[in-house]
Amino acid sequence: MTTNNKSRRGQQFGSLKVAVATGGLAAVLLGTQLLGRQEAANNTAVAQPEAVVLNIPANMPTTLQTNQAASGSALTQRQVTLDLAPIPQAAVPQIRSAPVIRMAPITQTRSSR
Amino acid sequence: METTILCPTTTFRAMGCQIDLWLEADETTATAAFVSVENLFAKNERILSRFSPTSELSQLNGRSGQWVLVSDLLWDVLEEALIWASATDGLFDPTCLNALEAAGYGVSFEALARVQAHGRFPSDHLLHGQWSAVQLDPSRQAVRLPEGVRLDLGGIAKGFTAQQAVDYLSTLGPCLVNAGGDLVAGDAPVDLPGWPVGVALPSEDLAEATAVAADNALSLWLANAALATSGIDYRRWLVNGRAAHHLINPYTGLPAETDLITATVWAAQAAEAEVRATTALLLGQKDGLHFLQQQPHLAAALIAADGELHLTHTMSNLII
Repeated sequence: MTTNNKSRRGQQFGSLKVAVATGGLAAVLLGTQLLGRQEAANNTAVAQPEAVVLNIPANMPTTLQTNQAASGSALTQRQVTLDLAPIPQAAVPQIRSAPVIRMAPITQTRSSR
Repeated sequence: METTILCPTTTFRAMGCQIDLWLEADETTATAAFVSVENLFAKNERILSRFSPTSELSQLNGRSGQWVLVSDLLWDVLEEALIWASATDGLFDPTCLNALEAAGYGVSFEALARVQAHGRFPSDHLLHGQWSAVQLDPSRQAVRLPEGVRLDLGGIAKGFTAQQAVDYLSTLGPCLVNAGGDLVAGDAPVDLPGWPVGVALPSEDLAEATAVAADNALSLWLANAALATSGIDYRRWLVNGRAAHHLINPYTGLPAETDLITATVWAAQAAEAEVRATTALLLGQKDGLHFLQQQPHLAAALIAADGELHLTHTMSNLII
């Protein structure tokens, strides 16, 4: 009984961690895509890196994790695989140098006269 | 890219100096506006000149110790002068006329240049440095000068009028006013960052009292701001064989001893540029530069007696 209770509690913690990790990453993903759209709308040049795949171990330490839950159960071996869109790394502003205007002064400041 | 400014311009004399105007507008508009500005200078001179015995200022100076009702213009300029006297702890002093005349500057400089000044350096107490004793009654728009004290509003009156001119011309287009070496600019000309203006090197030949342009120490773009220069390189004369000039040290009542030849200050408004240039000259190179460096809203170029040009960081950023 004791072993089953521990195992069930471990499953519950594991599910919670997966939900938290998935939700957090989804939020990051959405935010990143939104930023990417804004950058594109501003006509800035955006460096396009390779897409990355993150493998998130389900037993990634969190503040919720207990020593018991951290011990190797079957759930801790599960992994969440998320395919993320490319993250804009840097916005390169389109700077055009202003034309240099050369002009002789048309008047001057000097001591009152 | 080389370019030029082609816009209506005019020149006339007022307040003892040459006035130049530029207005980016059609010829008809500019011509009418220039007439209005010339009339403005003439009207203000009639009220604010200390050289004309019939001016309102002279009337006020002649009635020290009494309450005198004054016009809007004299009230506004005097109020501004007293504000700046307070802001500079009296280093800018509109009550220095007695000391100025004692130093030989009793007639307009145009007249002074024609005759040898017969001034005397004061040896005893003179009525100057009395700005804090000038009384204003806003309810009646009345002024009472302390007994014997007289006002000189020369520099600030000129700056005030130049600012009025720019405020008016700006309703018609981009504009620039040069009032005897003090510049006030409105908006920049079309397609330019400002009006291209120079800061003149001091006059080397004191006898050469001409309006011929001197070489520039530096150039900058000026827009919606003022640039004033105070110096002891031009309005100078001899008193008993000793050099005198128009810049009075309010603490001594004597022509100031300074290691600067000219001080040029950039500010948002003409009055502040004028006052800060004058006080920087009085403070001298070290203290003047130190003070101006602490004022991020100002920019300055000081030319010392040894020929060195000293710039505040803010002025460095404005140079073309």
